[in-house]
Amino acid sequence: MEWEEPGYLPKAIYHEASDSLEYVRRDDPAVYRRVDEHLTLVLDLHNRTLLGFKLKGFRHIYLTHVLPKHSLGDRQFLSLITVLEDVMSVGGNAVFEAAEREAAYREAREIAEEDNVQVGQLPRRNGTRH
Amino acid sequence: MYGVVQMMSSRPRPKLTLIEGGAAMRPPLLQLPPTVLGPSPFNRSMRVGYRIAEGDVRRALEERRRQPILDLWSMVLGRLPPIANISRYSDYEGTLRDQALDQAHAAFRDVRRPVGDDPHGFDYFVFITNPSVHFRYVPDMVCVVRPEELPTDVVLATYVLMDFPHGRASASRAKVPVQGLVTHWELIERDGLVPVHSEERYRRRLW
Repeated sequence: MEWEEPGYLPKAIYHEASDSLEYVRRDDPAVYRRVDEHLTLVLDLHNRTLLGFKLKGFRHIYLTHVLPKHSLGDRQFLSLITVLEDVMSVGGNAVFEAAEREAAYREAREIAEEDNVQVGQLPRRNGTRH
Repeated sequence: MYGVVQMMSSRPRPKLTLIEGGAAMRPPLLQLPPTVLGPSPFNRSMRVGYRIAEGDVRRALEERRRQPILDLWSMVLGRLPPIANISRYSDYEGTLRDQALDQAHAAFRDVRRPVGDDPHGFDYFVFITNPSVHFRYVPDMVCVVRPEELPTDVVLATYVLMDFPHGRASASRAKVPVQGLVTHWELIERDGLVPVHSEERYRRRLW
């Protein structure tokens, strides 16, 4: 089946059951390092380099903080940088000190920018996604 | 009568969509068992069943992201992933069984953040296991996965949304009551036998 097909193409994937949006550059084993209630960094399991990140409670973030600020119209995608900037401004119950938290968001933002990550699946109010 | 007809016709019509490949046989990797056995968060010695949120791993597989479902098989279900020639790793069956969700050594409640319709994550429960091995995808002519030892500084957190957050009444006739949905699982750095910063992550440790 899928094993003979081409490899993983990096893409932000919205996971409905866990209500999280995840982006990883490579399909490698990973360890998840919590930054605050919204952001978790995804690190390579063995060398702990940054693979990507996860935005938790994405439906809540999107509906409460992102959607009211941006007129999406009929667009079916959104830049992940925009989302990260909105989340960063919300604040959160951080595990790290403010400077570390800021650095973590900056790292996530750099990945989103370098890879030009778009969010193609946007949650709806009724719980389903576009 | 006319009024009734008018009312009915003003209702929004459900949008029907064609599901392509709906009749196709599922690949073995996606033929997940209907439930996975695990301890009850309310009673560590009681065994209950949890359904598995299959949609998210299927969605990840559509993008060729294979690691989540390999981790589900090897660390949550505690089984060899059903892949061609996996029998060459049958020596690992015992190890996998001993690291399944059923072997959780800690349970927490409330993830302290919004999850879907739950604004506080209060009804989410987290089970902690201590796996030692998992499988990863490696292109190979014989078998496309291979076992890999996990670093010793990580534990697995498996997240469950309970159907009855306050506990199901004991009147259930099922031999093993099914009590919730496994939504996701992830390796986390540990502090002792629990995840680092457990106090910030979760509101309460149950056992």
